[in-house]
Amino acid sequence: MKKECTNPEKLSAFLDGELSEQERENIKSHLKNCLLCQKEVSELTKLSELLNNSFLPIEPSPYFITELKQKIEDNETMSVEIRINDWIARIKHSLIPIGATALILFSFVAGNRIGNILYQKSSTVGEREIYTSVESSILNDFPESSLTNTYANLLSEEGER
Amino acid sequence: MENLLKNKSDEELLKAVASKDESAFEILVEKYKYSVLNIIYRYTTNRTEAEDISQDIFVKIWHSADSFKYKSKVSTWIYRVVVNYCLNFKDKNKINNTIQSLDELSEKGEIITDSSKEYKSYENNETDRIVRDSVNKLPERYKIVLILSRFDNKSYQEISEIMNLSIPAVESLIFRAKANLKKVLLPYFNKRTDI
Repeated sequence: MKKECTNPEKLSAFLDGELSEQERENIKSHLKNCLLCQKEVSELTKLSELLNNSFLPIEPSPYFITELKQKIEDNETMSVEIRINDWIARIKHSLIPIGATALILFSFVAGNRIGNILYQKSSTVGEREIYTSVESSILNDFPESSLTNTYANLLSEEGER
Repeated sequence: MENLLKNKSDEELLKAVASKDESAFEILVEKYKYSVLNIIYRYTTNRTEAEDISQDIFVKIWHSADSFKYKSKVSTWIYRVVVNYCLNFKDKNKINNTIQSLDELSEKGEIITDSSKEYKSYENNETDRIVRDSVNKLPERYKIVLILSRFDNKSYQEISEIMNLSIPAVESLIFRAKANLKKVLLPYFNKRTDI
């Protein structure tokens, strides 16, 4: 190809009918005197023929639309099934944390209740013990000759009777 | 009702499809099925797969019609779906890139090996196979622009809109595709004999 030759991309576009009127005229006049570009155009034309002959078009099957409608129907049924399965899977997935949280809450509440009951029982016993010990210690702490001690002794004697 | 729909533009049809109008969808499919099927057929070189994939593309159009923004022509959008499907389709089991072997063609009765006429048929089948194989081996973008331009008669302008490329980029891709094929197919240029 000579230096002044047309860019081969333009020759391809020329054969595809993609150039402006001016560009086409320029190429046509160049082709009259350039054997190399003529050869390029001839080869590209033969290539187009070869491609056209080897890739003959096909007709859609007569069942094209029927099969297409069936596919859409299957697709929609499938998407409903997928949505349901997705929903079930989500529930299954969320059941584990929900269950675990419920168990923790239940344990907390139940533990609290049991703890309260046990605490109430133990505190009642404790209070009595403390009261008894305080009561006796208070009485025992007075001096033997004191009026309070004498009064306490009288009370205990009366109680024994 | 259908006659009324037939006179509607692609945009009006697609709006009806978006609201799940089956008659409008059927008209749109009728209008584009031949073109879509043949683009896919030339891409996959397998008729059964081409039908299957074309139907998948129309299923996709049915489901995504409501997402179309009407910023481009409906036809451009449909071809863009086709091109993206081809370019992004990675599952090689679905698009069978291998060309039918001569044995397979023979089994189907497409090759007959007796007499001079039948020999020509064999020779043509062999040339066709080589041409299809060569196109199949082109880089994906070369292949798709060549199919759109050569076989679907799309202009460079339309291809640039479908593929979101500049016109010079399309011109260059098409030229490179042709140059690659020319190199491989030069010996076959004068071989094909018409019966």
